[in-house]
Amino acid sequence: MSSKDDEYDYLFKVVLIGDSGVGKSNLLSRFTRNEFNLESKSTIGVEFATRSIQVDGKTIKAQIWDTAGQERYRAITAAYYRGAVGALLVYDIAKHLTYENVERWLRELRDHADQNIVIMLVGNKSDLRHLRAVLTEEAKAFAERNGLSFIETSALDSTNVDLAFQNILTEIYRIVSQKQIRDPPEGDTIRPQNVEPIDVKPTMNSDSVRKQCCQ
Amino acid sequence: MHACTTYYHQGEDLCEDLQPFFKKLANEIAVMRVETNKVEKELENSHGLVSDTEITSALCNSADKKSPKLEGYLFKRTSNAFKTWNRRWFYLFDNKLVYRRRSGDEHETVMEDDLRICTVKPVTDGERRFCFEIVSPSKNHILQADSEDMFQLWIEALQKGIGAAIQKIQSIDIQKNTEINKSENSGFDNNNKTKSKRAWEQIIKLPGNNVCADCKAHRPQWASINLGIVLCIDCSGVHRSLGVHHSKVRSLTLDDWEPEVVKLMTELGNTVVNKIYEAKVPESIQKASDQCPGTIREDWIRKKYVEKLFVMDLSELLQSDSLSDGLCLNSNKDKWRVKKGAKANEVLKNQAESESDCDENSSCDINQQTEEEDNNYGAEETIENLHSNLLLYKAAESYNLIVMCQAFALGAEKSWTNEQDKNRQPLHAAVISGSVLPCVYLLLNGARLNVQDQDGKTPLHLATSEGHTAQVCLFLKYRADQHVKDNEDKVPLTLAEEKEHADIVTLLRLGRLNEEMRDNETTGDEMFNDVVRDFSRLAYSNPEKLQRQKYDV
Repeated sequence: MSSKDDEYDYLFKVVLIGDSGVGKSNLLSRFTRNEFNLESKSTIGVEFATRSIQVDGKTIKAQIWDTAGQERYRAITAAYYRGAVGALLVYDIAKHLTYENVERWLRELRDHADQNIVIMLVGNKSDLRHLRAVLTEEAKAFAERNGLSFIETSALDSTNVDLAFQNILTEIYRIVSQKQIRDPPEGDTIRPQNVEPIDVKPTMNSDSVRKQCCQ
Repeated sequence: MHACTTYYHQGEDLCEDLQPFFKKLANEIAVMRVETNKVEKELENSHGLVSDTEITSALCNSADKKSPKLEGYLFKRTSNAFKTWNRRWFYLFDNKLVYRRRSGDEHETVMEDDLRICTVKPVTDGERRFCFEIVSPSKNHILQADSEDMFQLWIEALQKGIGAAIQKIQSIDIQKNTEINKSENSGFDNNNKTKSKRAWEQIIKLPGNNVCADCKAHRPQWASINLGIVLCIDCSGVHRSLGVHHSKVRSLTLDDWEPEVVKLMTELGNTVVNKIYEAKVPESIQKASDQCPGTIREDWIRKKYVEKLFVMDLSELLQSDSLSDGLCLNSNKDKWRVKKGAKANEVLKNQAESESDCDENSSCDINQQTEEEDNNYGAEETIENLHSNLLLYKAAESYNLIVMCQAFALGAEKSWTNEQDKNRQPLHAAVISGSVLPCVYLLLNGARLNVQDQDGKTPLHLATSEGHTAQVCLFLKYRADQHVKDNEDKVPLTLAEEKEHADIVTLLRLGRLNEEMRDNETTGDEMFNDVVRDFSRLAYSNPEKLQRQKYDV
């Protein structure tokens, strides 16, 4: 472990969820180790990996939790979502059923995760153009309706993988750092009490979507 | 020109046609406005009502000075990075602070289990008004009340609660005893009892645990966790002076109790342990008593546990029948074996449980994780082999805590290596038993955790390949080194992945993540402890959940 890796300003826990076989583990390995395994088996138990990125000159360490799609309702469920500030909800653009199940995963998040958790809908396997079963526009519209960020990725050819993590971590960072401005350690604030932060999701939403289009 | 006028004319007609529609619309909007105003008012009123009832219920309850109760909505700041505020229904009862999402919700979360170890203080520098902080040894919670009044009420109630709770323990034992008597006599069911199933109450319930193991003083509030006994404060002081290799002293009421240690305590207890450590007390020896001078107390305890003067030695044991429960000798007296299961206590326990409400099912479940083979005994050994070390080994292997206790009393070596059995130590044998308790018992008595047998396997290796999740959890909790390689160059994680034990894989990986994070952050540790706690709770409440099929992923 390099010393650079040990120091960070923020530690964010992000969970990967979505049906079995949509490529969660390969997204994780692509992002954290730049590896991809075409013959990967179903994940056993929960896997953890970390990677640090820079946002606004701050080091943000992402601690990413990944588990097999079938692992929910297990002993680990509560612990899996506890403390998570971001979720990548992954589906397979070539398997419509995995997209239909997104709603179920959203429900699971509502039941177990923090209400402010930042959710990004990720259509993975975008390299399978010829087999596409979920239209980009359809998924994007769904994401907008539900206040989610949206991106299409390919863990196989690396398209947008870093960007997906970068975007969700930036979004979390914006929310969390804004909260910190609200309660500065010195207490020399002139803001009135009881100020609630303004939800910045819409801006970030369009931001991430725009970036995605420009690729 | 003509076309133009017709066009405008038609336009005017169209507008006139629309006029009634617009009027209707305006009317509807007006009606709606009135209605919303009404609803708003109603809501305000009902809100007022709600806070009124909250305050009144609070008031009438705090008048009852003995056990302050208070419930109502508070805002709670989440502990994750967002630090958001959630409105939750909190209530205070029985030394606990508990909350739910809504007042009628079934599911409740315990915020603080034991208010005696907490303090409350107002938070004035926060960004919100009416905030107060509850500080416990492990966590801080920030809560916000709706108004100044409620803020005062909560702080007062919590402080009173803490005060009352501390006073309450002084008298709890007498209460407990009388309660048991009551239920014996009349079958009188006390609702409060089901609510208060705290660790120490389970322990104190055990027959013989109502008095100090050494001087018989009433209301013992201390325990020696490696010996499995409860003690009065004076004897606990002497035990402490013996050093932790002889006796690990904990407070029943003030310390945190891990579920597996509680379980072990309830399997042993004063009666069982004294049967062994006071098997033959000569007349000449002055036993310690409630009011005896310190020197006698010290002398007695030292002789009993350090010099082990009153323990029967092996040859005497073989002639007497005192071990007959656990150790079975063949009729010709040259073969012996250890009976499986620590059931000698069961009879006593059943008596206690029929009187009270301890959940017996859970205790049996762990007892029998892997047992129930046709043969209920460990392998036979010839009598010449009978040595305290081997006795401990065999007892651990067959999950017989009482024989283990006997072996400890006989001075068995916790880290003795059994050359007959792959150079394994008792802890390896305990893993084979499939149960957590013999492992806990050995660990508390100083068995080494990372020893390797002749195949290079540590107890963690064995527990992993046997698929004993609860044991893996225990070893990780005791900070086992999971990077030790066996002779095939495998670490436990490799074994777990090969065998597809999902929960064990998770636990081991989590342990690694924790090691990685521990260097610079405390949060990693907290998270690890959280998950491990989840697992150990499961292991004790729903062990079947951990017994997943191999390909059940």
